[in-house]
Amino acid sequence: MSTLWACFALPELALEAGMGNGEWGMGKTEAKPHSHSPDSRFPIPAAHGCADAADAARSGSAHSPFPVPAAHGCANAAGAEPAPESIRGCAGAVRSPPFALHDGATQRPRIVCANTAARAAGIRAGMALAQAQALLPGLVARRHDPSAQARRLELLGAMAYGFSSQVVLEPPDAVLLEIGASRALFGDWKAIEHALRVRLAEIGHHAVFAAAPTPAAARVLAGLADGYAVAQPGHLARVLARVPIGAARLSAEHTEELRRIGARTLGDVFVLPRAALARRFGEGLLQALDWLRGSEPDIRTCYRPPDRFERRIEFDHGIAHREALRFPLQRLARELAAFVQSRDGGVPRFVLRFDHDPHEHGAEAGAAATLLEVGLRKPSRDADALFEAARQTLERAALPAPAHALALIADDLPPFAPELRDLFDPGLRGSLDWDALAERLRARLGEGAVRELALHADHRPERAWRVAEASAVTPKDPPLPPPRPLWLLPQPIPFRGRIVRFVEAPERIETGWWDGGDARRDYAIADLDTGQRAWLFRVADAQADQAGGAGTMRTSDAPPAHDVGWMLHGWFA
Amino acid sequence: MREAATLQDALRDGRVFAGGRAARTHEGLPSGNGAFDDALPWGGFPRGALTEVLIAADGLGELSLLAPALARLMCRERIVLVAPPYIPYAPALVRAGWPLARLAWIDAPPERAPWVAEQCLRAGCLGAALVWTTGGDERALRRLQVAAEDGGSFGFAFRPARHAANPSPAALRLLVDADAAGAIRLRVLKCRGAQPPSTAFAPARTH
Repeated sequence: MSTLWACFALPELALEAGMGNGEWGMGKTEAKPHSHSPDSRFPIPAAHGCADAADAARSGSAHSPFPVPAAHGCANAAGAEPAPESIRGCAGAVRSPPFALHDGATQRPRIVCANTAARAAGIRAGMALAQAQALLPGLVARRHDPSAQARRLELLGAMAYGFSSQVVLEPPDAVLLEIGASRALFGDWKAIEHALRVRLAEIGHHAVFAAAPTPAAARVLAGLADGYAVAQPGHLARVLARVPIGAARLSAEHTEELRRIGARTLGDVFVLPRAALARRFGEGLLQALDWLRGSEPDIRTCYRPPDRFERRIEFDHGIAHREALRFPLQRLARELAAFVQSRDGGVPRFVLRFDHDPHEHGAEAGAAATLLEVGLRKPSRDADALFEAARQTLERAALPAPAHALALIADDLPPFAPELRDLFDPGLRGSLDWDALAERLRARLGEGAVRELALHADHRPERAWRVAEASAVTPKDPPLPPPRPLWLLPQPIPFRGRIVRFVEAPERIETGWWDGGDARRDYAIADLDTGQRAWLFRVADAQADQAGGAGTMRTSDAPPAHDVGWMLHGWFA
Repeated sequence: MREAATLQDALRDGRVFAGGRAARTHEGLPSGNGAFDDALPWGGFPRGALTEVLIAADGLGELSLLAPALARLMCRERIVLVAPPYIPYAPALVRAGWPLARLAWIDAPPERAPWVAEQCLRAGCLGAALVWTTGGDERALRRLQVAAEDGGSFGFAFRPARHAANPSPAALRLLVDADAAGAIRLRVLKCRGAQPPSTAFAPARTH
């Protein structure tokens, strides 16, 4: 399969990242998977070669469709807009109160960007914040934080990494991924696009998509229309030829100079002789054009997912109520799940950090943050399971002060190990698998209720077992222990039964003098008159040793009298 | 998932020879005691049903009775012990041939134990669930029986022998007690679909 680069650009990323810093409730994006009409569904390797399937419903306006010559074998299914500026106006999926970001200047802060509702009220980028607030008193304005946006882009890169091994971040607001090889696994571009849209909507983002044989072309097309795909390298030059110079993402000076010589579209530039272009504009422009057309390899630095997850949500005011913390927690759990899924990993435990305002509680200045450790029985990558575990931990814990920020940190990210299964395994008969069942029981009965057992190398019977860690590996062939009862009493109790006979020769267990748990016992297996078989011991003392020690115990069938000093330690159930 | 389902369909087809394994529909789980297995219609403990074990006291070898069968079951499936009366002692379990990795011990308060066992049986992901309960509530047992049918698992309920006279919805009821001489007896009180054998069995006691 030939290379195909997909690009998704998030024109409102700054806003979405900005809203993530507190207005998480407002940023609820409709999980609207792109609903193409059936006739606009062109699989990528279609004979036509390109399908402009921008969703009319999404792009909102049907005027000035991107000029693709239908005669050239392209299906232009729906309207799309010509310039990225106007695409910013069509992100209608976010229904939220007016919101804007300002540059945070102390003297005269200016609006950097505003959402649909704010723009509807006439608020524009570059406007003074005071003017914007005069226009719209209900405007929520927050300081623009480029680093928050960069972090958010990293997260989106991590998500895209689940679809392709070659992911390139295009700051400030786009992600490129090579999907030519991914098509074998995920299906055609439509399927990948749909999956990406759903995943993005889940974490509250709206994006525009494009696909092209070169990364640069994909980025350019994403700026022009949503859902535009060019699969055949042969068609690329024709499509690019229609791209306006202003939308071609060339450097600002090149754009200006090309405009000045009368070039309106890239096609006007492509027909110019290379030598003349190189003389006039330098090698840089030629290279950019070659990268666009794919006549020269465009080598970019691929994104590598980090080995750590940390996200933080700040609140406008302190939140003390647990119910109110649910939503940010759910959002963080979803992001964590998206992150570990894209790594094909799982997360066994993570930490929730609630930051408090140190000035709010003068007496508790030390408690600047509360840390809650959330542990799962097994590494998980399911958003609901992660959220459920976090919620339960939160419900049991108490916050000393209202939280001003919530952070989720996961350091331990082992590779996901799916359970090995037998070919003839009958598989699931019911609705739950063991992990889900165990989580449910733990939730109902408490953390330590579901236990696994393991051997421990110690001769003292009460220490020869322990509750296994979740990740414990039991040795393949443990040495066969001597006869032991299936039931062990938590504490030995004085024995009050009647011994009929002893079954085995007594066993002396004498150990532990080095760690203070000194044990010196003679164990015996005895049948009782009730038919029960008991595991008894007597503390062996030095005197008894001198007098013959354990030798005094009989293994004959002669029933001894009600022996004193026996302790019951187990039942042979 | 769809591939897995079609594979299972193919394996269920009677013409497919499954590498020496007998067809597994509603077969029994042999206990290892030949005379006992022969006397039961399933040739052992019934799958997808509840087996009730009434015990006169702890330590009569009631768990050893199931140990070989469960050890075989645990080659492939997980089992759980719900609210056992004592600590299930790992060295003895290993000696009985139980892989500890396929065993879970669920500590539940006595009043919750039937509910937990029901969840475990209904989930269908477990080979068997063993529950210890002292209550005489017949409805709880009925729920266990239905859950075992739904999940297709082996259900075992251990109860005190004093409930022997009460009716029970379990498919198989066993009574383990000792005779006057202190010898262990295993009697079948009820087995669905057949006349319970009148003779008592003497379970072999290794330890």
